[in-house]
Formats: sequence, structure tokens, C-alpha cells
Amino acid sequence: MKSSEKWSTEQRIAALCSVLVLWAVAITGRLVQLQVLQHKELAAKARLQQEHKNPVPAPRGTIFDRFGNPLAVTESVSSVVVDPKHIVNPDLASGLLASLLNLDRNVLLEKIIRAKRLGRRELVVKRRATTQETKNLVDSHLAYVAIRPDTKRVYPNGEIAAHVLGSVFRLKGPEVGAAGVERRLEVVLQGQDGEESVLADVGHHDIDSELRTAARPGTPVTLTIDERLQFVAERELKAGVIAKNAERGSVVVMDPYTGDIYAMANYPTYDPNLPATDPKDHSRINLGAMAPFEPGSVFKVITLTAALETTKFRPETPVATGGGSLKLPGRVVHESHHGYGTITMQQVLEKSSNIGAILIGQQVGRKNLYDYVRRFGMGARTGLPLAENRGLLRPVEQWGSTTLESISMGHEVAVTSAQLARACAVIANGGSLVKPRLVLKRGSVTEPVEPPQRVIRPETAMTMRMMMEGVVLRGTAHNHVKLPGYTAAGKTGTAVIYDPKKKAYTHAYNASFMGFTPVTNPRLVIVVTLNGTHGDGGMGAAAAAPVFQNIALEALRMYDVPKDIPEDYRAKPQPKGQILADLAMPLSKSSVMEEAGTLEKLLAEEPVKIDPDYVPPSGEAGRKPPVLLAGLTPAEPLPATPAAPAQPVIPDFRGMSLRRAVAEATANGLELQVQGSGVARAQIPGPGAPRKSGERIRVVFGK
Amino acid sequence: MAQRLKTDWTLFGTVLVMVLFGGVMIYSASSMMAASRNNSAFYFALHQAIWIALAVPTMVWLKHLPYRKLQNTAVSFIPAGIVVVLLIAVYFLDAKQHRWLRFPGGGLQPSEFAKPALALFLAYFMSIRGRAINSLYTLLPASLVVGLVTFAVVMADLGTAIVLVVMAGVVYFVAGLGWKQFVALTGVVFLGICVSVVVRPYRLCRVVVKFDPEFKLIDKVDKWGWVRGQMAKSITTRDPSYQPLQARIALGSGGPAGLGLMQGRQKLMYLPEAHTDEIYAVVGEELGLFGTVGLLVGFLVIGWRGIRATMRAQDEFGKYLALSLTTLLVVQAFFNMTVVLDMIPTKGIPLPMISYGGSSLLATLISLGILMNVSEHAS
Repeated sequence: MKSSEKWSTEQRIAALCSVLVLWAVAITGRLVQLQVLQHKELAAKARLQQEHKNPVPAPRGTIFDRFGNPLAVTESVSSVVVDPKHIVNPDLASGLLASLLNLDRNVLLEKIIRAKRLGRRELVVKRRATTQETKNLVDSHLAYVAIRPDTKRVYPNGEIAAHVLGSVFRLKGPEVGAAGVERRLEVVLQGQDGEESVLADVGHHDIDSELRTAARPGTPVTLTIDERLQFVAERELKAGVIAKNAERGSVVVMDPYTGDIYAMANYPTYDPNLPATDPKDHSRINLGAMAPFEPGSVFKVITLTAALETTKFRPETPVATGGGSLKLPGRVVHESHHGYGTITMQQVLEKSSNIGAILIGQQVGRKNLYDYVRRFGMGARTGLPLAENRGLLRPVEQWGSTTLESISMGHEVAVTSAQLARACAVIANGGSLVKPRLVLKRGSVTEPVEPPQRVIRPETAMTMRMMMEGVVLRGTAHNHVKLPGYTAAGKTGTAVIYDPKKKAYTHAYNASFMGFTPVTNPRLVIVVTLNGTHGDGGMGAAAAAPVFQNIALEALRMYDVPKDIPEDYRAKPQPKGQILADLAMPLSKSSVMEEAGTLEKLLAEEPVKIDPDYVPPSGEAGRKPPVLLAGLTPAEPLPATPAAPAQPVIPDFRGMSLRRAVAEATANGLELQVQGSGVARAQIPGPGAPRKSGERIRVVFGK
Repeated sequence: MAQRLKTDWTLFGTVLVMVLFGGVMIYSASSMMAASRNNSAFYFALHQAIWIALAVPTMVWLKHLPYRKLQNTAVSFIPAGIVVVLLIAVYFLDAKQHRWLRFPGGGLQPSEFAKPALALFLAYFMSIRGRAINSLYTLLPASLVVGLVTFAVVMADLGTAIVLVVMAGVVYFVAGLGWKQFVALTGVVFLGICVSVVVRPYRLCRVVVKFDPEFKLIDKVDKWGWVRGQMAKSITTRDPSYQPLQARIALGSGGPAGLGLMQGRQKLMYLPEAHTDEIYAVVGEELGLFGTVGLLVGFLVIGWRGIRATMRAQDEFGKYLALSLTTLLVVQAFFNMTVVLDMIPTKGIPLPMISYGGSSLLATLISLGILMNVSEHAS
């Protein structure tokens, strides 16, 4: 009672006020501590939980052909990503996603279950989802689904140049090259992803985003490939392989002076737009650069060139090939058909005489022959930016008793089509070994041409050109290579295929033709190889030479190569009844091919890369390769394709002005080559001719 | 009655600004959540607007109602009685939280109305028995009523109960409570709080996480592991330190200047109760130190006007009424801030006038209406 009287009411209220003010001061102090002193630290904590960083995909560099036509482009797409951890019922989820995204349900289920087991937080279910698909997904409000900007490599021409370009695959992060140029030039083509920071709510729903670093796109690469010629090469190779029932084949078209690869075709081929599913997919091997084979008679060119340089042999020097058989230590060599008696060296090449080549080779000697085979670039990589096999040429010390004779005919040595093309270019360009070039430009920087290396004398090359022309005019390739208005030179070759498993030669052939045209100022070197042909029709002359002819015909026209002989010029007809076989003869059970390797061995070295997350689309409709049309995606109805109803024909430009002709050509998607001025007078090909892809129309204008 | 009274514009203006500011902040804090959960960004803001439209006229009506009319037995006891009955009813009706009296179109929290009801009762009681505060015949009946109401509240809502007890304590103290009695009452209240904490596992968790998160002291004192056992009964899945941490992050990332109105990020469901109990953190994040200190000053202004009315009141009833209502508001606001600032364990106390909640707003504005009337008469 007494104590209560010590403080008056006013004092008590004052005490209350002091307590409240002290409390307010404490609150203010704490506010200052949190909002001023700990501001940075807490703001960092806030960012850590509120923001996350997303990569901004950088597009890969586009790959162009030598004229700037895109061969491989990167599209911006929407990818559907799921968070497997948040999928409670994988069965239900896979069914739903499969129906919304048109995917194979069972594969999807498997992938989701596996990803869940591995504890992955991200599984790309579908790349390149259509706008309709993404809309359906967004509408279905699935918590575990996110749609992210992504990039996808697209090969607008499908199979064209598939082996040169290669393909891409993806394990984690951006697409990387799996084969071909895509793989070898990965460093150049690969862009650098940017980064954006995304503000998300507590349930990981993105609210807002801000670009931190912009994506740096990859450097575009221009190849020496000519899309039009590549198309022709592939078309003709395919026709040749099918016509001769061969297993496979390859074609290399090269500029003899610069080494530019205009076309590199293989059959069977594949569509790089479709992800690989089989690690042992033979169709994905670039045979032209990777598959070594015993070349057979085409190799006689090298033997004879060596003879011209190192012995007294001249084209007219007689060679006694005798009655068609020759005794060698432990072996008897036969001509492929019958004996030729005494013939000139020129005729040895024209008739592809095995005995003649052996006799000449013996004159050249082991050391010189080895030296010249090396000079022609055999046994070494050509330096293409591709996975490449260097073939096999044993050093002289390891040669057996008949190796010299074998190599003279093109056995006991393994080469690739690319190596043959390079060797052929030595003759065509006057004696220099060029380095084949596949990349023309990286970005805007032109790839330097490596100075060619002189390997034979120019006179020798001239002589050899002439001799090889003889093969086309009178020899084995006669009747099989006809280029109206143009001269051509070449050499046929047929070699039996060795089966390393059975350790024996089979009855199947490697039929090849290597040649160039025109003879005097060669513009193109073309090497055609068909593997696994049979019978007389499957020999180099009958099987490979026509492919050479068809490709050369189109190529010469495309490049406007001036004609060097009258169009109606006819060589002397060959006497009837003479079969010009050019089959080289293996002398020993060659271990070369065992060492050089089978396709299986090649695949083991360069396995096909498989995208582990790829989910195939459901049904056959989805298996069609994607179509590149601006703003259109495959699942949406495509407009009626203009190419479908009838084969397109070349319009009539005659009588049009220059301006109108160009407009007309542009409207038809044709390329015009204009000559003169005034009114169009003539055109090649003529009006109404079937239009072929990659064709250029020559129109002559006059007043 | 005949004499026209001068409105306390300082108080009236402050209250109006704060109520409207609260509406804006509720929209800012809740729009993202409402858009995703209730399909309308305005869901909470609209509800609050309706309650403001209802509560402000009520306040103005009470402001014009002479407070002396409230000085009778009926007005003092009936509201308190109704509140107690409702609180007990709610305990059984709302099986989960024991808080809500639900009816179609909304709900009421009787515990909010316990505050003005108890204030009215205490003012009336003190106006009669205030001079004999230290008599057992004064303390016992008063504390009985306070205890009854508090007990009814404490079942579900410890925060409100503490505010009620503190208000009663302040009223006793100003009335002239002796030190012995003061200490004794404080002891009883502290014991009561301890018991109510210990019997509710989630409350125990919050307290332990705040004061002894590594169990250093508890393991020394409680060798039998009873506290740990009790805590394990908590059905809350969320880490009890999560909410205070998120509040700290919100305040800290706002910094001195704030991120700007509507620019806050913690309200993206990182900060629980962003538009209700933790709205002070959202204010801090968006408006920085200016916003938080500004609100603090706002409540200090209300406190100043309230104490001023207390001092100037012509009669005992007015004095105690102003005192109790002022204490109620300021203590509740400070309590809320202290919780948000993570200085004491989390308690479910809304920030008066700012937090979302119709019952809270209505009860607060009823209190303020009466306080304004007292203030007008006092000047």
C-alpha cells in the first residue's frame, strides 16, 4: 500500500511511455541492423533463393556450301523438359506426355524411370516441340514440365552431304558434333552459351528474366562442297550402286589444282536429321575417307608414272606380255582375259595388262616403286577435316617375294577414294601433290591454300595424261565414258575383295574409276568406287566409269567448262568381240586388308554417337525427316507441296528481257547464268526440259 | 452534447492514412499469391476493401458516440460475455485452429473482439474500483474476468492472449498497483505463458529454435529428453526457423531505400503469411527503412495521442478507456514488429490496420473510434 503511493499516476504513465519508447528504439536498432548493416549479406541470400541462372543457348555456326547455300543450320526451338523428381506416377505422366507430344510412350516411360532412379532433375523429353504442342502442354498445367528455349541442328537438304557434314548429338548441354565436319570443327562451330537470371517463385515457376551475358553464336563455316554437284554425285552413285547390285560405293569430286572437294558422296547414306539409334550403323561411315580397299588396276597409273620417271620406258616402248601367263616365284600370273603379245606401254595401260604392269614394275624396282607410291600420297592421311583412314603401304623391308608385283597391279596396298582422288590430281594438275581442301572459309576468313608439293616432273604428268586419255579413247573405258564435246582421261580398276574372316579372296569386286576432264586443262578429278560388284558387268569399266561419265557431264555444264573437241567427235570404234577386262590379280593371301581393317573395325574406332535421351515419335508419321519451312513445323498441316503433282520443268525464257528473265527465274527458284544483253535468244537446257535440283540455266541474250 | 467537439485530426488522419496504406500493401503482398491460388490478383485486396468500407463508418460512428454512454454495466459485461461464449463455441466449431467462426461469405475471429471488449470492461471496472486497486476485492474479480477471457483466447491464440494480459497489467500498473502485487501477477502470467508454450508442441518448437537452437541448455537441464519428445509431436512440417529467416531476408534485401512499391520478391510465396502477420517485412522489402520506420512513427503518433487523451481525460472512465485502448494497439503493433524482426519467437499477431483480416481491422477501428471520442472530449 505504501509503495504504491511512491509513484503518482503521472509518473506511472511516464514510466509506461519510457518503456514503449525504449521498445521503439530497440525496434529501430534492429531495423538498422537488418536493413542497413546486413543489407548486402541478406540481399545476396535473397538472390540465391529467388533467382536461378539459365543458359541462353548459342546457335552453332551455319555450314554453307561454296556458293553460300546452307547445308546445316541451327533453329531456335522450344524444348520440353521435365523434372523427373516431381513426377509421382511415371506411367501416368508418360502416357499424358506421349499423347500431347506425339512420342513413343514406352520409350518415354523407360527414360523417365531411369532418370528418376539416377536422381536427375532434368530430362529433355522433346526438342523442337511445335507451337500447338507447347500450347497444349501449357494449358494442361503440369507442375513437372517446363518449356525452354533451345537450339536444334537442322540439315535442310536431308541426306545431301550427310557424311561430310556429319551430325550432332547431345549428352548434356549444347549439341556437339558426332561425326564429319560437325565433329572435327567443333571448336569453330560451337558457340558460347549466354546466361540469363530468372526470378522464380517458391514453386520454381518463372516470373521474370534478365539477360546477363548474351549468347555468342558459333562461327559459320563455308565448305568447298558444291551442293548441286554433291546432289548429282549422290544421285548418280546411288543409281550406279543399285544398277550393279553393289553393296556400297563412294565418289570424290575434286579440283585438281586447289584440292577443293566439290563433292564427296557415299552410298548407303543417312539423314543426319534423324538421331542415330544403332551404334553399328554402317550407313554412317564416310566410306570415301574412311574405308580402305585394294585399288587394283587404277594403281597401274602410279607404276607406269614411276617407270616414266625412273626407267627408259616411254609410252611407245614395247612390252612383251607373252601369251597371257607369267611365272613368278611360287605363282603364275594370268591376264584377266587372254594374252596380248607384245604391246606398247601405252597399250599396257589401255588394256590394263597385269603382266605388262608387273614387267614394268620389276624394271622400276622396289625402292623406286615404294618411293613413287609415297609421292602420290598413299599411306598418309590426306588432311581432310574428317575422320580418315590412311590406308596401308608397308615399308620395303616388310615386302614379301611378290609384293613388288602385287603393288604394280594395285594389290597388297590399301587406299581410300580420297587418296586416289589426290593421286589422280597429281597427273591432272601437272605433277603436284595438293592437300585436299574441304573448308573454304571459317567465318569470313578464307582458309589458306597449302602450297602444292611437286612430286613428278611436268613432262611425266603430260605424258601420263595422254596415256590415260588413251584408256578412255581406245582402252578399257572406251564405250563407257562419252562426254560430247569434252576430252577425258582416266583409268579403270577392278580388284577382288579379300574377306579377312575367311582369309580368302571372294568373287566380289571393288570396281573403280579415277579420271579427270578435260584432258588439256583439267577442271575436275572424279574418283568412283563401287564395292561388292559381281561378274563382267561389275568391273571398273562397266560399273564405275558410267557413274564418272554422268557426274562429269553435269559438272562440266554447271561449271561452264569450255568444250575442247567438237561435239560429234567419235573415237575409232573398238573391234567387236574384244572384252576389255581389267581385273587385277592377287598374288598372295594378302594380309594388307586384314590390317587395314573391316567396317566393323572402323566403327570400333569411330563409333556412331547416340543421344541417350532421344525419345522416338509414335507412329510412322513422326518418322519423316523434319521439313525446313519458315514458321512451319512438321506436325502442322503442310501446304500442298508444289513439287508433288508433276515434275517441274524449265520455263521458256526466250523473248524475255533480262530483267523479266531474272524475275521469272527467281520466282521459279532457278539460278540464271546470263550471257550478253538484249532479249533472250537461246537457253540451255531448253524450255520444257525436266528441272533438276541445283541446276543453273544458261541464257544467251542478243539484240 | 450541445457543445460541438473538435475532431482529433492528427489521430484521425494518421489512422486513415495507415488503413489505406495497409490496403495498398495487402494488394502488393498478396496479388501474386492470389493470382495463382484464387485466380484473381485482387482477391485479398478486394476483401480488405470491403472490410475497410465497413469498418471506417463504424469507427466514425463510434467517434461521434459520447464515450460516457458506454459507461454502464451492460456495455462492460455483455460484450465480454458474448466474446467468451463465442470463443468457447469456436473452440469446438473450428476443430483445426480453434480460431474461426465461419459463416457463408467469410468468417470472424472472436479473439480479435476480445481486445476492445476487455478494454471496455477494465475501464469500467477501474473507474469504479481504481482507487482501491491493491485491494483483494478489486484485483480478484478483475483478474478473474481477465483470466477467463485470456484463458478462452489462449487455447488457440497465444499472441492475442499475451497482448490482453499486458494491457491488463498496464492498466493495473497505472491505477497504482503495488510492487508486491505486480511481481506476483507477473509471476503468475509468466507461469501461464510457460505452461501454454509447453503443452503446444509447435509453440515449444518456435521458442526453442529462437533461443536454444542447438539444445545446449535444454540438454543440460532436461536430462530425460522430455522437451525433445514433446517437440517431436509437432505436426508442422516446416522448419520453425524458416519464417523468421524469410522475414529477415525480406527486410535485409530491401535495404535502406527498398526495392520499390510492388517490386518485392519475397512475396512470391517465399515469405509465409506475407499479407497477414509478416506484412511488416514486405513493407521493409519494398519501401526500405523509410517504410518500416514510417510505420513505427505512425504507431508512436497513435500512442502519443492516446497517452495525451489519458492524461487529459476529465473522468476516470475516459482515462482508463484511453489507456487500455492505446496500450492494446501500440503493444500489439510493437509485438508484431518484434516478431517480424526475429527478436522473439514467432507468434500469430497481426499488425493493426496494416495486416489483412476483417476481424482485426474492425476490432482495431472500433477501438480507435472510441479512443478518438475520448481524445475529442479531452482536448
